[in-house]
Amino acid sequence: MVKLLSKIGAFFRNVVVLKWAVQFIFLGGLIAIIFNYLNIAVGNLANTNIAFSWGFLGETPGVSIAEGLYTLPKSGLQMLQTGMLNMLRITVTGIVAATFFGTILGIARLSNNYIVEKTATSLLEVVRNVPLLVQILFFQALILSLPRLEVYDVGSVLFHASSKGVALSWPNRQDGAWMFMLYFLITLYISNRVYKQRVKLLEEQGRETKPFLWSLLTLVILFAIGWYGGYRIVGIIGFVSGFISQGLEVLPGIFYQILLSVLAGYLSFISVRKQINSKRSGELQGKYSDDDYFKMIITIVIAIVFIALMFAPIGQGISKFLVGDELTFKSDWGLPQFFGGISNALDWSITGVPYELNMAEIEQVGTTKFKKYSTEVGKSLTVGYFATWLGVVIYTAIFISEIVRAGIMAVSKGQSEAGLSLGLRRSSLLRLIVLPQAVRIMLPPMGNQYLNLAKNTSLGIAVGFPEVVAVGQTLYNQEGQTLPVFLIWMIFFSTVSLTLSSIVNYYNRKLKIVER
Amino acid sequence: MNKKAIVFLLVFAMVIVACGDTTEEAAVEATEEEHDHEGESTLEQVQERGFLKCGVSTGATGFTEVGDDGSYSGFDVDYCYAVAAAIFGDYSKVEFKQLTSAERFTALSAGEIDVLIRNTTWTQSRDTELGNDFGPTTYYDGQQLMGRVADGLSNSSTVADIDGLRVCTNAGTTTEKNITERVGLAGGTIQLITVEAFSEAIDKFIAGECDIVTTDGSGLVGRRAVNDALNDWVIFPTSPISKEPLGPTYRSNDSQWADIINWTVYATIIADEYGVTAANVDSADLEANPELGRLFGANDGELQTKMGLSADAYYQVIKQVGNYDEIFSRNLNPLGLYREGGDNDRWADGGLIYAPPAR
Amino acid sequence: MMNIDIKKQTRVIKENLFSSPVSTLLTFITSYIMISFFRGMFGFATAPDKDWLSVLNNMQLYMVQAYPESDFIRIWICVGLGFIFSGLSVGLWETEEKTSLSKLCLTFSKIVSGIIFLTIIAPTTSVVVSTATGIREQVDVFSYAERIPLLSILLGLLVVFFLISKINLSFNKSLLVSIYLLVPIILLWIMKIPTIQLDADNQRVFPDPLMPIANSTKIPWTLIWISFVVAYLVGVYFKNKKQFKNAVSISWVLLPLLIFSWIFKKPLIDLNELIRNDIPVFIGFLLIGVLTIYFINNKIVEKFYSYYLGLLVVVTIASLFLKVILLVKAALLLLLLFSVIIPAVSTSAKGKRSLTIVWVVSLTTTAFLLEGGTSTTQIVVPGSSIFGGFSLTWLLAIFGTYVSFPLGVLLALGRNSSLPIIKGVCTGIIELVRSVPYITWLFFASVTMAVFLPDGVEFNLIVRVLIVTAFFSGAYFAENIRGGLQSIPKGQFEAADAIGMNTVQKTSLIVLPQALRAIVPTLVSSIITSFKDSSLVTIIGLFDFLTIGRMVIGNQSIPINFIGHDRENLLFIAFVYWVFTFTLSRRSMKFEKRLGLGER
Ligand SMILES: N[C@@H](CCC(=O)N[C@@H](CS)C(=O)NCC(=O)O)C(=O)O
Repeated sequence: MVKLLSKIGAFFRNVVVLKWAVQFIFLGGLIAIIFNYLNIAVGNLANTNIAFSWGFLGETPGVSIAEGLYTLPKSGLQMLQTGMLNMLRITVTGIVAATFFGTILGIARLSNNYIVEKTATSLLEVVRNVPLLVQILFFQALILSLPRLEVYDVGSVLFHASSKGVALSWPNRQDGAWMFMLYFLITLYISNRVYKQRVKLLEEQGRETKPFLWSLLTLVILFAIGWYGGYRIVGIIGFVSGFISQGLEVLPGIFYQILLSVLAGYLSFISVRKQINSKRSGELQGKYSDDDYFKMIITIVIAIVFIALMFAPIGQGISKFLVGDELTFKSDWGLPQFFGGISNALDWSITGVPYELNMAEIEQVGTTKFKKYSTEVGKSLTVGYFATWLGVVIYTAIFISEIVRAGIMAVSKGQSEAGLSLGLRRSSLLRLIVLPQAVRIMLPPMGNQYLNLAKNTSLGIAVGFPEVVAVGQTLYNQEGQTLPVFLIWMIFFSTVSLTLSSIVNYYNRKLKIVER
Repeated sequence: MNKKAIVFLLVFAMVIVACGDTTEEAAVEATEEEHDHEGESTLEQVQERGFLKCGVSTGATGFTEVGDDGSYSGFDVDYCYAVAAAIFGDYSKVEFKQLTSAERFTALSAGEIDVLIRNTTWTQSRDTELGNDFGPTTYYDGQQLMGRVADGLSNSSTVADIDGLRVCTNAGTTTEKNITERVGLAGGTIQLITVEAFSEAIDKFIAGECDIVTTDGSGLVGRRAVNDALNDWVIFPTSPISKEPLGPTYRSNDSQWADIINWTVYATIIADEYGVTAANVDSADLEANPELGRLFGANDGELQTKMGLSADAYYQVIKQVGNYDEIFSRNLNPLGLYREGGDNDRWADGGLIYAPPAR
Repeated sequence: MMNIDIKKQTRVIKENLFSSPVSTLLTFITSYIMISFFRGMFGFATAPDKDWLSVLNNMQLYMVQAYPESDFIRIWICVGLGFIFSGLSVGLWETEEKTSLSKLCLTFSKIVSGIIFLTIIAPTTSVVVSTATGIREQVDVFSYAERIPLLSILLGLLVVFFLISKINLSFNKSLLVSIYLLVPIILLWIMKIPTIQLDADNQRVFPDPLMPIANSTKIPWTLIWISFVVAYLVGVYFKNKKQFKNAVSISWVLLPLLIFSWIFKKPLIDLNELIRNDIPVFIGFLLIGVLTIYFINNKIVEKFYSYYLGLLVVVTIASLFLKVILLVKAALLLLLLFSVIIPAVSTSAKGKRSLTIVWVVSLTTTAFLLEGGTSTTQIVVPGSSIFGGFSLTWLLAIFGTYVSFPLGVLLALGRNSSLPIIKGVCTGIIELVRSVPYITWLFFASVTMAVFLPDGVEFNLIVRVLIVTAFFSGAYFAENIRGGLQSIPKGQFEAADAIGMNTVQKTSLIVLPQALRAIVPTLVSSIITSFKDSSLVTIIGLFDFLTIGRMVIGNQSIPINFIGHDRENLLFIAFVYWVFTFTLSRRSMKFEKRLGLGER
């Protein structure tokens, strides 16, 4: 008896046992807390007659949205999509613009020119010390203090700003634009290959191969060919997608389940094998710690749970709880539609130039005295969009400028002096020697700024720009479903953040490899 | 005993501490609210707290306004005062919470306010889906549009005339749905810009970003008056595009609380029917008008005490805040909104303001 | 003599502005942009349709919303305390510099020249838009004739400065600062500002009459300002006393707590309860702590200490769920934290002494705060929530940081831990919280959180906002701290292992101090961020500084019609935010530099 007790005592005093016991107690406690709150939520919702449901995603909200994909959404889902797309519009263009302005400002702050330097510095001091929301409101007020559009004459303009927003000349997308875009990406890839090929040649044979010129030439030629109809080659992909789509449609649902399960199993197998292999070498020789076992077990458990969810009725139960019975996801995960969409967009019977450069236009609204910017030609930006865009771009650009400045200053002085002694001009020095090295230091903090920009677009709600938060708010005001809308926001923003940070990490890794 | 184990226990404890920490901190802040309210009725909570929490608008001319010393006034505000007068015999025991249209129902269901009196339209979906109940309508309104005379609009303009225009309104209101539906029926499309507060919609309208603004008629009339634009801005169509009965709103399933709010409103209406005002309530002839006697608790006031109020609760309402007509004319007449001949006239004069008998 | 100077000047100008064609072009373009911007802002500010009195007249609303006037003295005292401590700190950390009259005159003449330049380029007209019709018209605002007297005065000043600069006189900078600081007091008493007056029919009198500043503002400000100057001088005097500096630093941490409890609570304390419950509890805990500190090295105590700790953990956790008075829970938590550190620190007599002091101070503050915090307040605000305006903005900024700090430390330790589950959970929380915008969390606080609260428990919206802020800035803090943790060289751990430290000692003696040192600079910048971010609460309808300018004043038609004057207010708000963040960041930068110099 005493022996048993002491054995138990020893068991509990074992480090490994204690370690995992504590962790599982912690996890158990956490899950219990979460479960407790979920229970309360379910009870509370039942009390207020607002049972948790995703049904609103399928219902017509009956309100219109100022701008975006669907201005008169037929379902809650369409409404949210519109908001998400609006948010992404600002994020993507904003990142490009903020990087551009930020770099210029960062260089300006290092300028020898007194006025330029002082201007950039004072801009920095103003912008970063005032809340972004106030700045966005300020920009809105600024645009609203422009004259009304009605005082101007109807006609084409290069650029125009009034209290109704801003209009610019713009290359408008035509039917072939999607194809051309894809074609262009391929062209970029090809010219990149050409560049590398030439560099390799240079290194091997030691003669001047002019890699830059070559790749540029390839790009220009291919671009010209593409612009005048060559982009239709890409139609092959569309053609193939059409077949895939039709083929997929015939397959039974179980095929997808098996496909995904196999995929999950394979992935977990790979990762376990990697873990085993990593310990096989060197002095570690086949010794696994408890943490290693834990990792392997977790990987396998995740795969099993996933597969079980695919097949077991519990999966249906969960999806029923989450989705309600109003909306059902197809068992094929929308893959046939996806390929169908691709084959529609990449249709090789489309002809004509992919983009058309148009002037902005002021038009009469019907027979009224009101005017508006044409949405067909040129680009018109609403006040809400413009204010939000300008706000987040300038705010982010300021922080980027700090990063750029620090990055440039971090590149050692000797490097610049060496460049100067080689007879490089200041501008070339910056472009060829300093910036490429600075980028390596700058990239991680830049990534953070991009994430901030993406998140800050949600302030558009204050100036009536229908981004995803504003749209979600309207939606739950109509239907009372606050919790699902909040979950959608969370999932959406996490996805965006994750995507952005993976892109930044990818480039970060790539640059690091170059370094070696 | 090995030391690592202690460390693990400590990390665990620290996490717990973290949880405890925030709740503790919060509890310090929230002690006023933290009493165990379980199973208490709204009235008990309010009485225990010592003041009423009343949700009003962030600023709707004539309905809710904030002065430079932070004082409140307006039609809706007066009804908050009236409820407080009924419960405490002291109209000033109110804490106002200013809410935008989009927040008001969540604030109500979260228990942040006891009653919402904020130009809120009684609709079927709000009544059923959002867990609210509605009290008697205090103001019969309807949605209208407002544009500039200089832009070729007049009071004979209709919804069909705004096809293709940019319209501003505030988020979370019935107006978004109404206008989308009406314009759709007339075969047109509009670009609807929704902002948080109606004042922002007006700013956009003034600047010219929006061609038209739309909301409840009363709001438009009020805005036109305070913006000094009586001749420049026109409100149309003359018969509103929707029905907007505005009144107090409270959480559903608390009939005692509902009775208190409802009868506060009815008391102001009944007093108006008898011509009893704040000034002459003390000299009112309660013998000759037994209904008034019952309402003011002069005879026995048993009905009020059954509601959980003091017998003279409604006497205090009239004495301290006034009857319906006083509340209306004090706040809305300066804006050019009158009862005579409209929906908000006494029922005897052809209006809709009507109260069930107090007996 | 003069000639050479001019030549030198032109050379400098040439080098700085026109060194190359590109540089010349850039100079012109930026100058053009800057001048246009100035002209635009000037035209905006001076246009006759702007009513800047909408800002001035609502100052009280801006600052405290509807705080009862009878209790204003509390606010004045708090502002005064803030100023006194700022004065002390500025004085204490001021460098002793000499400055001379000619240097001073140079600065002044630069400023005056700047003003002359701006006066010359200021626009003559401004645009006025009729709100009703939307018609715009140009109006004259600042004609050249009006500028001549101003310009001649400025030129005169320039000459005077030039002449004075010839006098050779030098003095201490602190003296100069004190003289500067006296200027506002004089201004307070002689300045007249336009004030809104209503006539018999309640109509506003135009033009607004100029009135001296009201006594209710003038006298408190004078007193506050005088104490500021005195504090500054005291600070300069005690500059070399290290203890004094430490005391001031610690006071800065405690000051906000004191101020907020003073502003928001006027406690009604039940004496009976106090004597029966709180005081015995307080003394008991005090004794336990002190005894532990002094007897920790005893053999028997050492042996059973780990069991004692385990017991403490269990009791503390249990107490959280039991119905005991709040003080017990808080004191237990505090005791637990302390007991963890005690064995590591309490090894020498000096360590014991300082630990005792820290223990007594922290327990006393906690007890006081709880006492004040849980008692019912006697401040009644007619018709409105007590929190509002600028005070709410600061409440959110400072308390947001306070609450998030411990959470951030815990999350960072968790993320750095070697335990996979704890690490995973902490990483998950940090990343999830950070990937979603603050405004979404605010919406969570305002609309969704209520769903998760048990029936009958309700938190004020401000408290809910503080809770999400704690998590949100806590996650950011955690990342900062983690950066600090990663910067600790591995060798330090090895050294610690070599001298036989256990994990508790390593964490509390090596890891945390360094991590905390790494984040002290980020503390101020995090308060600044919180201060700026707090403006977002306007979107969920809290009545902070921004909301009042944006939503309330633009809707005021009583007692004076300020409808539509929200642009002036927006500009004012931006300016106030700017002044505060700018000075704060400047000061903290200076402070950090000094700290860095002192330590390395
Ligand atoms: N009655 C409508 C509209 C209510 C509404 O928002 N009214 C406007 C103008 S009458 C208002 O109160 N605006 C003030 C604000 O936005 O806070 C509803 O209940 O949805």
